[in-house]
Amino acid sequence: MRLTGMMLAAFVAGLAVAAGAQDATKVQLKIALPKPQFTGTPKDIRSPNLEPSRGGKPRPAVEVPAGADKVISKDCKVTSSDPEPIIGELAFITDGDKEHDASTYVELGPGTQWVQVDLGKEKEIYAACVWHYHGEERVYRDVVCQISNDRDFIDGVVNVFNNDHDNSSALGGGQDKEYRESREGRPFAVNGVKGRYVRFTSKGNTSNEMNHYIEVEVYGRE
Amino acid sequence: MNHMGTVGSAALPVFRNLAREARIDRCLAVALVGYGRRGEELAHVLTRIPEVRVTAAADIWPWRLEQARERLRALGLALRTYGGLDELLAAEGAGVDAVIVATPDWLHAGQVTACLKAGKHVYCEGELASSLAKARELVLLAREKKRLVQGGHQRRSNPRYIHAFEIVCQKTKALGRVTHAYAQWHRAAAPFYVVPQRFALTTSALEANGYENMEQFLNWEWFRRYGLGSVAALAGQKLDLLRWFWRAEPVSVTAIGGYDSKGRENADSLMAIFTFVNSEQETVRGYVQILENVSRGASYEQFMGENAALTISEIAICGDAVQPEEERILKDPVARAALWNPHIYARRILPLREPPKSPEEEAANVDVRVTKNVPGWPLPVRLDKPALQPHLENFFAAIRGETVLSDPAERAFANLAALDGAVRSAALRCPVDFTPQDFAV
Repeated sequence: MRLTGMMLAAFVAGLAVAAGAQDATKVQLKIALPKPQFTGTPKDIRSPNLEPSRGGKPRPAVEVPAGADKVISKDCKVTSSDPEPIIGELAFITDGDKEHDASTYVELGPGTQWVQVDLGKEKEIYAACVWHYHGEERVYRDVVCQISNDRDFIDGVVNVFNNDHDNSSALGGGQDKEYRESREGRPFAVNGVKGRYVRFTSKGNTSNEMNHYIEVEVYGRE
Repeated sequence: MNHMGTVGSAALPVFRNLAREARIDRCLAVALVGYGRRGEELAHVLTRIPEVRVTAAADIWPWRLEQARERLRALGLALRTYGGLDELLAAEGAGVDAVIVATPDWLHAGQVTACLKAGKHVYCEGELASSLAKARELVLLAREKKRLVQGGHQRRSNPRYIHAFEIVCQKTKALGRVTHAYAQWHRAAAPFYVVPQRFALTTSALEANGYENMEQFLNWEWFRRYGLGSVAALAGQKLDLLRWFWRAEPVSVTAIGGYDSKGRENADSLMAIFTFVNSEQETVRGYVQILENVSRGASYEQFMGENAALTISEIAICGDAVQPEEERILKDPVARAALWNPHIYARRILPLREPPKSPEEEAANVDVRVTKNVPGWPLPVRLDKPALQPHLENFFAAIRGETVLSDPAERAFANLAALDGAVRSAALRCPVDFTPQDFAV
């Protein structure tokens, strides 16, 4: 059957409508940020895998489908490889407080450590954001973000981010860049992965051997 | 049990204790008084020095002491903790060789005195005391007790500075006659530190220790009753570098300072021009600028000679190179080779660092607060330790008789005398002249 001009025009119009509808369902993730405070003198941070400075500009926003920009991790249970944090309580990590003062962060022991957020049931995850200690300029090493329905992260593990470029934490290594901590945290786009548990790993930082978490937020929908 | 914190040590892994105990005959036992932000940093550095054990700490804030104990426990180390220095000295007795004083400046004189009387060597952060009279007494007491007192000007032990000042500038005169120097430390204004009430000290504990309230305890640098504040402390660090570079005490200072931010009692800016007479009896000048309300440029020093300038900072990204005085020499390879190749061959400086060739290269690893490194000949010495570590190591090596102190009490006193002159000049709004007797004890 030959396409008539009207049919062709209708087809093109239909494509345009579909494209417009697709664009309309994406929103920029708006993350509530703590107060800006980057005090003190800059640190001499050396890293072979550090992302270039953005010159003070904010990190590009993560886009998620409309309706998937809600925090689904607030007050969720947190477990850790270090069951007795040196400072703070694991509950701080999902309490919504992202300020960096001494009463809001959790300090875990040296070496490779992880914290894990239990969303309660499988959910559709579109983004995650982690704040390590950001009261001074630091880079945390071997930052890994994973999602799984397996509480022990043995089966069905989805790797979202991994900047352990030398695989020293034995999670498979990754080529993502290290980054300087700031009040922005580090958001990761996840693209609708379904999972119940979200795990963040790290291995010390440029200031000391310890591991710190101020907050983790997971965004998505039920 | 009359002190806190030993119960946890019973559960320490035995193999870690054995690794430490095997070197105990060469280890120095060190106590720390003051576990604030600086004390925390010092404690971390102390755990990196193998021939030293930090065995005890004192602080008036139990919440911080608990954090100190737990952090060292996580590293396999035991830490005995006390609510005050007197308690620590009484309990530890001869079990401590040296004390690191990391409390607010207004407490230094009394605490250093107590440590010296107890027979301890002392490493004192920042300036020795908040007054010249007290600092003078400390110097005399240290001599009487034959104990070492290391001042807190840690760049004196920094191998990058030692190379730049002693080799590049003094020994080889690569810069030529250095007529002017500039030293800045800029930091952005920051809100006061706060903690939730449940972690705060009680009113009675604060008052017993001389603090009006928790806000002043956490932010003592900004309140007049506790001393001159951080501007003076930062200026002291920069001034010490000028004195070291020219190997002389200033003959005069003209300074201005201000209170440009709201809600602060102490000044947040100080600009001072110090005049020196160098070893050739020539007048030279150094300008120190401290701003606590803007951060552009962060912290660095520049020594400007007739042949070249040295830009250096404790943070290498803020300064680590020699630049020729005449820019044309950079572009003229023949002239450049004639003047600078001997220094490059002798490894006093590294081959020329070219300007960035692309925006990406320019943006790489540059903090938004710092000025990008200018082209020049980088210094060949890197410091891959925390900046505080060489100064602590120098202190411990001096205790063992292996070296001399980089910043002995007499030198630290002289720095305080010069700093005092700058503060007086700013307050009086007129130049202050010095005599040699001002710096002598």
